[in-house]
Amino acid sequence: MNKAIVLALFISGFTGALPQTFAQSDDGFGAFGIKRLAYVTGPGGFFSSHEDLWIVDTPKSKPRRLAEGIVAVWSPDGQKIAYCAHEGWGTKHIVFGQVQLINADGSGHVQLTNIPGGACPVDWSADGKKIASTAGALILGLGVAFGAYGVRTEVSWRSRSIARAQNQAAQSGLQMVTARTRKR
Amino acid sequence: MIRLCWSPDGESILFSSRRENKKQSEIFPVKLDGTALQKVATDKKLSLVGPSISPDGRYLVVAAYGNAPEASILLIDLSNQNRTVLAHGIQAEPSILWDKH
Repeated sequence: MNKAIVLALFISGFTGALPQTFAQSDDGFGAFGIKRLAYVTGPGGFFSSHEDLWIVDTPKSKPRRLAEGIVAVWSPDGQKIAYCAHEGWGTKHIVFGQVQLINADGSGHVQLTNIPGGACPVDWSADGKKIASTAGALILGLGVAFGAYGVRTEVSWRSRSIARAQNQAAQSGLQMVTARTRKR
Repeated sequence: MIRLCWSPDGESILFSSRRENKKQSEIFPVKLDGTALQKVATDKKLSLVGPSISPDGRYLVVAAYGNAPEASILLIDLSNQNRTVLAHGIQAEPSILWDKH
């Protein structure tokens, strides 16, 4: 078999290449009513040393690396991105993600939360003044595993750290909203 | 990360699921009372996840996974099922901001 064909088949199998019947857009995302597009990538999947957040402005433009993180959520005006950044990717000392805020041009980065167990953004309010996020998912799990003492500890931790997060968000002109995930 | 999205009319939620013993995830709508509706996007080889639908309901953007861990971002015109690749090499669902004007 021709070496070039073998190489092409190898690359296709390795990358899971898409069928060639799909068209590549040349018209810009605006033709489809898309105002902003971001995505996450990294060299080695979930076990890589990092995952990066990219913005791509048009199908033919070079993607811009914005930050190290995952779970990007655009502000309604497309000027900011809330995202989740872990520490210690690929190590034994991984720290679960916290909500970050950054301008679409890469400036103005600020960490909004410091919640044990991590927090990730879910959505913005329509007016761009509030961010809904998850909070302390791991600690919730530990609370169940270790019984009442763990639950009380978790509630205390969550209350203090959510208050800190709300204060931090307020300094950025935002309101942090958290939802309780179980009855007490 | 599993991402859901509301239908433009707010009457249903779109999500990805593997059903009918298929290996690939497809995009289904479900009404708020739990009633399943006809699937809106499927592929014989690719798993479609992380739906995001345009405000006018015409376009659906999904992450399409083949054999590799990396995915591509596909835009599907729901009026004719034509597909356009918006980007390659992602590892999570794309984050789309639709122009609502």
